[in-house]
Formats: sequence, C-alpha cells, structure tokens
Amino acid sequence: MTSAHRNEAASFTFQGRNSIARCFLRNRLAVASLIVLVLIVMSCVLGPMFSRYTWQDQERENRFQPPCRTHWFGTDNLGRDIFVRVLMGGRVSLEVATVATGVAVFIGVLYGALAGFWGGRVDAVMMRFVDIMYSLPYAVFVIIVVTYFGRSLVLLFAAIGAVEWLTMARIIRGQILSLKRREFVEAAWATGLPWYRVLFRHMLPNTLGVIVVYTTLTAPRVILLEAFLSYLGLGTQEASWGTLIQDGVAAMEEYPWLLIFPSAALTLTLFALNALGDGLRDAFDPRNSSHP
Amino acid sequence: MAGFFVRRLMEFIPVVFLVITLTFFLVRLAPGGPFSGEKFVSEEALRQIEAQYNLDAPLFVQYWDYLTDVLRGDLGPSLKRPNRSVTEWIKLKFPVSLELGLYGLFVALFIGLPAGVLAARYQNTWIDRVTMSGATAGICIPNFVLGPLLVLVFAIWLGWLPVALWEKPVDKILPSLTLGVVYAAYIARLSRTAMIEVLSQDFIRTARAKGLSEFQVVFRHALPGALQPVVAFLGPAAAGLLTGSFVVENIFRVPGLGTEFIKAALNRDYTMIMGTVLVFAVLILFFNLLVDLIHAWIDPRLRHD
Amino acid sequence: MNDTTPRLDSKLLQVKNLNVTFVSAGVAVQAVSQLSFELDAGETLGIVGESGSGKTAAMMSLVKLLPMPPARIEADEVRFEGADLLRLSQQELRRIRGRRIGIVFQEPMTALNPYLTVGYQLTEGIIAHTRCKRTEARARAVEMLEQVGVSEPIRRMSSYPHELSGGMRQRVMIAMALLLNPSLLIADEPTTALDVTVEAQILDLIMKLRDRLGMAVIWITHNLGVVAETCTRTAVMYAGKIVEVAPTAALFESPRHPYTEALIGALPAFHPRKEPLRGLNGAPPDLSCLPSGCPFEPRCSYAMPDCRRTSPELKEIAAGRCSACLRVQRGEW
Repeated sequence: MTSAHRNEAASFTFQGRNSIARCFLRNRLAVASLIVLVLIVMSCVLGPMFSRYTWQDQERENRFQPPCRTHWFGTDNLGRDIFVRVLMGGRVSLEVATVATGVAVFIGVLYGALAGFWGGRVDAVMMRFVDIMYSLPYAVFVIIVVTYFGRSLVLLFAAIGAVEWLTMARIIRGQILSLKRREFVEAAWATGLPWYRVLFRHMLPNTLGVIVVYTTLTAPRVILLEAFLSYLGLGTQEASWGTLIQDGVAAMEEYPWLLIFPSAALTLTLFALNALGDGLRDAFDPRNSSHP
Repeated sequence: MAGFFVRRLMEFIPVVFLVITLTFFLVRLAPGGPFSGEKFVSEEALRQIEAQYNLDAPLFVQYWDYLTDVLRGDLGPSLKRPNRSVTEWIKLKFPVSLELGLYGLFVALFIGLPAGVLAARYQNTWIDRVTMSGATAGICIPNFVLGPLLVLVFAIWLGWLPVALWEKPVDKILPSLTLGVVYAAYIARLSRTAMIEVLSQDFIRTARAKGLSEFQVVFRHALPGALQPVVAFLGPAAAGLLTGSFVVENIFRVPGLGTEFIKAALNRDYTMIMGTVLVFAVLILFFNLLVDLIHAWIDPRLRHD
Repeated sequence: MNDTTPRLDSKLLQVKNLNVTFVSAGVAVQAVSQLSFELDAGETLGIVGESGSGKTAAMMSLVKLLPMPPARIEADEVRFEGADLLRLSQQELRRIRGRRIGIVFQEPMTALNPYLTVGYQLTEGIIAHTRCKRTEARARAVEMLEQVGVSEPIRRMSSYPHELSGGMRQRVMIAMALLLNPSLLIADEPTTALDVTVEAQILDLIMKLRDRLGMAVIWITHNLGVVAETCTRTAVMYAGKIVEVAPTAALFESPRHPYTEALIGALPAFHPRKEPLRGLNGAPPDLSCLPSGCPFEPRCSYAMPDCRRTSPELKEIAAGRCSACLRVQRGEW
C-alpha cells in the first residue's frame, strides 16, 4: 500500500560535503531557485518599508488602475496598491510556512526517529498509524479545525503542521532503521551511552541531509495548504496570497492583474522551493536523480 | 483472494470508528452550536429545538446514539436544512463529486502516464526536458490558480468553453482539467523515474534480444513494473482528488459534496459534517483497497498473499 | 536482404576491428578495441576473460544490445549470414535478433520478466517473427520446454518466473533462445549463477542441443574449465582485446600468451599436483587509463622493456593460432 513512500526512503548515501556542494552548484535550476527565493523573502520582509504605500492605503480616485509606473501591479477596488499587498501577503504566507513547516518537521522527525529506533512491534504500530493518517481526508480535518476554533494564526500553524509531518516521519524512520546496523552506532552503544544520546547525538545528526531535503519539500506543501484555506476564506484575517487570489478571481473578468500578480508570486515561490528541494535531493544522492 | 478481501474490509472498521470519534468530538467540543447564531424568540424555543435533535443529552449519550444510528445506516436529519435527511443530501450531491473526481483521475492518468513513458524512453532529449519542465510547472501551480487562469483564457478571452456550471458535457472540461493536472504532473514524474529504472533491467535486454518491437518492449515488458509506484501513488491521490474538489467545486460552482461540506462546517451542521466526512473516509479506504488489488493484479509475485 | 542466405564456404560470422566505447560525463572508456574474429557454422567458440575484460560488451554489441548512449559501437564489418549487422536498420536487426541469433543471459533471476508468464514470454518471440497463430506458438513452446528438460511443460507455461528454481529458469531461458532455430547462440555465462550440479546439467543440455540443431555457439565465460569441456576454439580477452586465439586443446597444451598461461596456471584441474596453485598478481587494468604499451605488461612475468613501449597487435603465429604477445611474435617464447 505504501511502497512508493518507502522507496523514497531508500538509502541516502553520505558523501563528502564538497562533492555535495559541487553537485548542487552544478544544478543551475536549483541555484537560480535559491537566488529567487532569497529575493522573494527579502522583498517581502524589506519591500513594504520602502514603498510609498501601505497595504491599506486607499486612493479612491485610483481604483482598478492597471499596472503603471506608480502602481507596478495596479490597484484594487479600493485603490490599494497591489504590489505592496502582494509583498504583505507574502509575509503572511512565509510566516505560516516557516512556523508550520517547523512544527511538521519537528513532529515528523521525532516520530519517525522513535519508530525506527524502537523497531519491532512499536514501529509496526506507529507506522500503521501513519498509514491510517495518510488514508484520512486530512484537508477535511483542517477545515473543521479552522472553521470551528476561529481563525487564529497559532491554530493554523498547529493544524497544518499536524497533517504535514507524515512523509517526514516515514523518511526518517527508514533512515534510522538503516543507520541502526552501522558500525559507529554499535560503537556508541559499546561506550555505554543511554539510548536517547545514541539516538539524538549519534544517529539523528546523520540524517541531517535528508531532513534538509524534505524540509525544503515540505515547505511548499505547507504554503499551498495555507493558500488553499485562505482561498476558501478559512485562513487568517490578514490577507495572504490565497486571500488575494480569491479577491482576484472575483474581479478577473475585467481586472485580470488582480489575479495574475498574486498567483505569479505564489506559483514562483512554490516552483523555487520544489526545484531547490529536488536539487538538494539530487546533490545528496545523485543516483536518485529525478531530473534529466 | 476472498480472505484477503475480508481481512482488508475488517481493517476498515477501526479506521472508520476512529474517523467518527475524532470528528464527533472535534465538532462538539468547539464553542457554539448549530443554532447559537440564530435569534430565537426565547430561550424556551432554543431549548425546544435542541431537544428535538437530542442535543441536550450528555455528550457521550449523543455519541453512543450516533454510533448506533450509523450502524443502522441512519445518518440523521440535516440540522440546518431539515427538508432532507443527511443520507438524501449525500445521495443528491455525492454522485457529482464522484464524477468530477473520476474525470480528474482520467485526466491524471491519460496525460501523466504517456508523458512519463515518453520522457523515459527519450531520456535526456528535448522531449524529456519539455515534458519534465511541464510536469514541474504542473506540480507548482495550485488548482485555485490554474482554474481561474483556465477560465480567464478559455472562457473569458477565447470564449470557447463555459465559465462555470455542471450540466452539459462541455461544462465538465475545465473543472476536470483543473482537478487532474497536478496529479498528471506527479504521475508523469513518478512513471518517468520508474520507467527509466525498469528499462535498465536485465529482462528488458532479454526482450530486445528476442527481436521484439520497441512498442512491445516498452508497453508489454516495461510498463507493468513502471506502473507500481504510480498505483501506489493513486491511494493518496484519490484522497487528494476528493479534497481537491472543494476548490474546484468552488471555482466552477459545481453542486457537489465538497461545497456542501464547507457550508456545513461554516454552519455547524453537525450531522451533515459527520455524514460527509464518513463518506470521504470510506471512499478513501475503498480506494486504498482497490490500489492493493491492482498491485496484486499487476505483479504476480504479490498474489499468493 | 537478398544476400542473407548463407553462402557455402563462407564464414557464419566475421567481425573486423570492432570498437566499443562507453562515454559518460565526457569521459570515454574503451571497453572493446580492435576486436576481430571469425566463426564457422556449427562451431563453438569460447570467449574467456576476467570480468571487465569486455567479453560481454563485445558480444552484445554485435546485435546492438548495449544501451546507446552511453555505448558507441564501431566496426569495419560485422558480417553475419551475409548482412553487415551494424549497418542494418533497427527493423532489419530485429528480424535477426531472436530468429537467427539467440542469446542466453547470465542471470536467470533477472533476465526473465517477473510480470509475465513463462508461456507468454516464450510465445511472443515466435509470434513476432513468424506471425503464426497463438495456439501454434504455444505448441512449439511446449515442445521446446520438453526438449530442454522442463517437467510438466504445459503447467509451466502458466507459471511466473518467481515460481521456478534457478536451474528451471535457465532452462526456460535456453528454450526461449532456441525457439526459432537460430544459427548462432550467444551464451553469456549461462551457468555462473547456478549451483555446480545444475551447472553441469545446463552445460550438457546446451551441448546436446547444439549438436541436434547444428547451430554455432559463442560461449562467454570466465571459467576456463567450462571452455575446455565445450569449445572447439577459444579466444582469450584482456582489457578489451583478444590476446590469443587457438583451438582449445592446443591452447591448454601450449599457451602462447603469458596471460593465457597465467589463467591456466590458476586452474586446479590443469595443474601439476605438487606445485602450489599460482594466482595472478595484480588487478585488471583501469580501462579509462590504459598504459601505452601492452596492457598486460604491469602483471606480466615475462615483460621486457619493449613491452612498455609498443602495444602488440593480434597476429597469426601458426596455422589457426594468433597471439598478441611481443615475445611470442619475435619468436622468443
């Protein structure tokens, strides 16, 4: 039922750091993605400070302006500058992405590590639970949670984090299982260390590459889920990219720029994160290369 | 085979039980109720209507009653739209969502598989690069971006297809595409990787040594192996196709179960939420079972299980 | 295609200056270089060498069964039954693969498709080449299974490869290669993956079938003992080159290349009892950076200064015997 996911966890081999860096730098798409991401994050964080407008300034005489020199991305129905609104929306989206990804990675790594480490029956039960979770309509639960408990940001983090940890858990479990048989782990046992030190000081650091790769690949999923909820009007009160897109859809017939710019920002971010994740994965394990 | 089937059906029970329990308490523990937003003439009237739906009983009693009702196949009345029972609502709306989901699945398979096979067969050529760039783009464009963009281009600018609704066959093209494209992209990438792997195996060389045509080598000898990860992906994908339909139904105003579910969640229509979640859960489980059966059907080594 | 019928007194297979290069990430590795040999109809030729000596790559390249890229195949001529194999179109080549040239691969575990029944895998070749009916193809497949000693052939037709033992799978593999009565069988270490007892049976089976069907066999192996039992002539390969060709008996009696001698010396059965077995010093050469002289020179106990300078060609040194050793060619050995 889950062979595809198990295969992802197939052996990651560790090579020298230099060769990983070299392999990564050779991947032009991944490097470009990294640069684009840095630019997006910087402009979302710093951009609004340097703009003449704020996200709520209304210029009643400039409603529905198409993109022009003063309003790069145009203005909306209240005469608000779309460029600044996209940057502010990016702040919300990236904020949610960072925290919720953190939550997901934390749960996933811990769960997967413990399952793989204990092995046997415990492992079987824990992984069976992951299987069941996979087969639940998780978006349904997220929707119930956010509609019922109000649109608080914290809750959104928790809800998204709680459903996106599954893949990470599977991957880390596979890694820990294969590390268990390695000599340096047996050596660590032999020195009489307690189990949690063996696990957290000796084994987990060795899965760092995998954690980095799958964190990069979890982030776009989280951003997507947040945007999905915002699009349905279930997200945070502040306008994230999903909210802007929803507003844009309502007006797209006559004012397509209201849809196109936030969509482009979201899509570009997702693309860059995915390409970066793929690039990192290929760099850590060239044999699994999924790209020509 | 029958034993396997029964065993898997038995596994449904705890999962469905878990889903019911989780949803029930999640929904009930939240502040507010289905009627708290409405202005009643008196406290008396509110209490009366709550009593009518058994909402004044202790929570565990309600839970037990609900469980026994479900076992009898009764999902209760819709609290907010009492003209139909939940079962009737589901019967009315679910076929639409299922149809949409199946079309999405077809789009995913009929675009994704050929693209992946082609890219693998012509690995590292421009065909490969073009298909895989398309696939990466397809994965990164969310359906609530793709849908409106498709509408903008094909319905508003070009005027070829209708903007929304779900009546004539032409109405169904854009929603199905919007729903299926992401999965097509995933399937293309999965099947490419798997196909490359399979094409490098010894038995492919044996097939070539027999003087078979390239078509036979690729489709008869390599494809079954390459399908395995795709089939494994279809389980989670089915869940995604169903939940993805929330957005697609919203964009194209398709009168399906996804729309109903969101309405119910916003209205705190307890029974309606429970009913839809139950349907989704059972459907996803059923899909997973189907996936396992397809696995065994393709790979004879799994059959004796 | 008119001249594909074998002419009398002509060779079944003539290979002239075959080169196989693997190019990956800008690095070219020459796996086979300047390989030339001939094969008569009905003859059995052994190709012996260590793993990595290019013997499999060379034989697979004859019918272009190497992944291209990375492989690049060039030759002056690969003439088989009158046709130059490397210059045929894909479609013409397909008509030869499986029909005129059958191949038995090394690993019966992986060489059979796990997703298809034995029956399907046997009949599809017949149908592809002869366009005969499915029932007819099945009858022929069953008959062939019987010939290769598979018990209960009709039941086996609907088995999957994983349901058969290793030896049984290799019998199926052989049946598959011989279904259309090829004039040449390429056997790529067909017994390496099998138990010793099964190995003997399979060896025996191929020889019997060769005699019955009158086909030529190219036997690729690293095992000189197998060659001694089966082959009329033997070619020894080292670092992508043939270093010696001779009738098998003569080869064992008086090897005319130091490498051949070393191989025979490492073989228990051909060794005088009292002397200790001699292993071969050193490791096979790295094909991506071969020495400029004779490739065997670094491991050769007869090496002389000239060996480091010139790479000797394969030359005829006596009737039916060729060697690529400088010492031998100069008459010093």
